[in-house]
Amino acid sequence: MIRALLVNIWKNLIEFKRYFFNSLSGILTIVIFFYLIFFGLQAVAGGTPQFGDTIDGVIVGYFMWLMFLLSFQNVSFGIIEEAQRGTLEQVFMSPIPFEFQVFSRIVGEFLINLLMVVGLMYLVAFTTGRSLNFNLITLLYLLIVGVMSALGVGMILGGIALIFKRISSFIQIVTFGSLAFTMLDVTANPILRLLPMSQTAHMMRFMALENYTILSYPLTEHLYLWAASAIYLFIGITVFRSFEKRAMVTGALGQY
Amino acid sequence: MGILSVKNLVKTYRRRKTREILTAVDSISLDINEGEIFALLGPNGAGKTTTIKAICGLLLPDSGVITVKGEDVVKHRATALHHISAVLEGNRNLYYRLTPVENIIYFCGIRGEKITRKDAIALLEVFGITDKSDDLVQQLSRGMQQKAAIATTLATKAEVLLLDEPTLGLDVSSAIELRRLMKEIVSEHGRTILLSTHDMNLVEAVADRVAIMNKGRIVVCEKKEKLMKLFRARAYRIRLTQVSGATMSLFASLEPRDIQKENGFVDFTVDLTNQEVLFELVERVRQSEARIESIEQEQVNFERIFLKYISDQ
Repeated sequence: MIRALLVNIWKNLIEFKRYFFNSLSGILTIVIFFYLIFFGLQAVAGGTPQFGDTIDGVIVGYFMWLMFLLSFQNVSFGIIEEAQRGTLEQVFMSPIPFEFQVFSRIVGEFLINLLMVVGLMYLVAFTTGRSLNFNLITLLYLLIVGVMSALGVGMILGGIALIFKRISSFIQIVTFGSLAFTMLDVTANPILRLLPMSQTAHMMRFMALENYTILSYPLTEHLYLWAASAIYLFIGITVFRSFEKRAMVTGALGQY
Repeated sequence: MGILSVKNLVKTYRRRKTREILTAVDSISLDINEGEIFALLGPNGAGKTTTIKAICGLLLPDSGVITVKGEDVVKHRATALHHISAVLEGNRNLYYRLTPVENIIYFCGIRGEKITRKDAIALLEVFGITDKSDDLVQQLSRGMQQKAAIATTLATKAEVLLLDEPTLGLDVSSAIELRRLMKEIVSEHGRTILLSTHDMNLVEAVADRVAIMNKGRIVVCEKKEKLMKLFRARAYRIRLTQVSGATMSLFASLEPRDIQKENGFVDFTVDLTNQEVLFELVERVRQSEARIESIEQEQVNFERIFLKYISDQ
């Protein structure tokens, strides 16, 4: 199992390095997109004193959303690409379960995304004249736990991709829908805290705006965070398994 | 029981539009011995790939039992899959953006097996593509990609290798090279190969035993040599002279084929199931004006054996 985990991380790193220009283009797009949002917001609310306070929140919110969508997009687009290429069946034939292979890849991609996103976050903070003085450990804790719900969403989409294959448009819809999850004010209704990433976004706002650390949050906040992540991860794995079984009955694994 | 055993395998699909049930594999049984090259032969839609995919654990059968080294592929999937490795649909098995060496290391790794870079290169040497070990797979020719795919399969510790259409799209020299490699995989590396193919030349060159499939069933399962011998004994090429229009009608019941008329000779091939029929044929010719110029036992190729069984279905 450990070898499978390591070899999947190794493959991600090789591809990231080998296609560095492509990776760099992706990073540049992210930064440019951020500046468009940032300067757009500044143009609308630049004169108000509250704007300065919300910049940190905007920076953190944007990059958290990015982490969220990169996580679930990588799972689902990865499955679509492999089904097209024909390597999906090879990975399925491994004695080590496919879910674990997917999980291993996610870990590899998560590490790359994390380094990239956190680095970019500090870069844009610097270039927009902000100093992000929040606690890095808290940020990592929230990202790691929070992103588990994104992985659950990714597994659901990946499972759907196994059967229906061409679901790129559906993934785009979920991508934009996910923005809403990170924007919601969860204090209005506790149920909202159980939406994917909503509780993470809420806790991150407190971290960015109120300088909360991991120990500052009440226990219930942590419980909601863990519960939401566990629920989506569980649903994701369950749904993926049922689609996987369906694909093995209908022979959909090797078809594209 | 062989290293790979399939008992009463049934797999059906439901057509999406009509909901009609299609039987892809209809209660087939196979027993493949350790160290042999077993060929599954059949026309398109015969059920070969479905059988291979069920053995690989990629398809859930409706019923039947598949075991590899005694392990049930459905019930003990993880253990059973340790003994199997496969190349499916030609070269669509490797990551194009990785090199052959990286592919070998990766595919062994995801099975929980370790292989060093040195060992991976040594394996590529067997396939004569060491100089391409650090090129990206997408830069290799189709033949090289195919060799790299089989090398990747061989790199695993699996005892049974399943090769689905391994010569698909290969040029003649690559296909011949691959035949040599397959024999070597069995003789030097002690593996067992289950082959699914349309390529009769490949079957003729490498297979120990052959199962011909048609419409989801096994039509015949025999040692290749036995099948060849059986057909060799049956097929005769006959040359006649002074043949009138009515003469050929005397042979109609023997279903002559490959009839050629040239320079006053008529050549045709007939299958003679026993000596009696041969005597009967000579007698018929004697009664006509025609004269027998020659009767030769025909060299049989696997294509003819295959067509015979398929047409009988």
